[in-house]
Amino acid sequence: MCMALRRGTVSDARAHGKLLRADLAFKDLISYHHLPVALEDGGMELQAWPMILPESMVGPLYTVFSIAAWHVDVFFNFLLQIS
Amino acid sequence: MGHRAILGTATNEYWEILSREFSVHRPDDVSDCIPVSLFGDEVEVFDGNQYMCINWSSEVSIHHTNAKLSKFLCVMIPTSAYFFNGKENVTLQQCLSILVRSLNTLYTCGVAGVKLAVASVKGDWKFMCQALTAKNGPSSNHICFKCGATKDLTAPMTDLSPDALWRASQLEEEDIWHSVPALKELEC
Repeated sequence: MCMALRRGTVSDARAHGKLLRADLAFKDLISYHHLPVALEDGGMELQAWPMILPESMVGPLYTVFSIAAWHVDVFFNFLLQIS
Repeated sequence: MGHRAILGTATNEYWEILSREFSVHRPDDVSDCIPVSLFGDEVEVFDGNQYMCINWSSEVSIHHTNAKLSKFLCVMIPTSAYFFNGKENVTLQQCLSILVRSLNTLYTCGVAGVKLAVASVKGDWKFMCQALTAKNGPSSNHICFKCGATKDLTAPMTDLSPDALWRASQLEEEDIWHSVPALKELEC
């Protein structure tokens, strides 16, 4: 996980461009599923939670060789969406 | 390039050993199947909170030392969001249930001509206990989810002799978990 936090590089940018041209931006891969989440008062509520299902990843993996930039995007966008 | 450049290739010999030794079978109707592992662990990211991160990776990846080319993140959940029902981590179980459905789809139907079979579930002891809703764990005297090995001298886990007591003490299903875990539905 820590490796995904490093700053982007030129090769990451090139890979990202490749992803965008292939219309494989991360946002299309994230789906939302209801998870029971604890509340501060001890209760629980169902919240739509972002997930990338393995079945969503395998198709793009067939097309794209370098996914480094993609992973960085996915990681930070997870953090943004659940923070 | 295709998926093989990322996920690698499992040989027939690999599948034969996996089937014989670990009862993980390749779907009968396809030769293009990738064995994968599901991994979970809690990590502190950067805001001081612990997050459960679950990812999957190919067991035959040619990039296994490169996290970004081999570990595919599925979900991150802050541990503060866990909801427990008794000993059961309901949040994690629901999350795994969704992942299991997806992985079963990949096992039975595949995507883009590729099928995936879960060959292993990996993680630290805490994750494994919560994922399996295991009764035995690091904080109990009985420490194994498969046998009756103990920390004390009842069936000492440190006894590695051929006639060690724990070898003859396989647990029954009702002794293994508090409730049936989502992972039990994994097809393999």
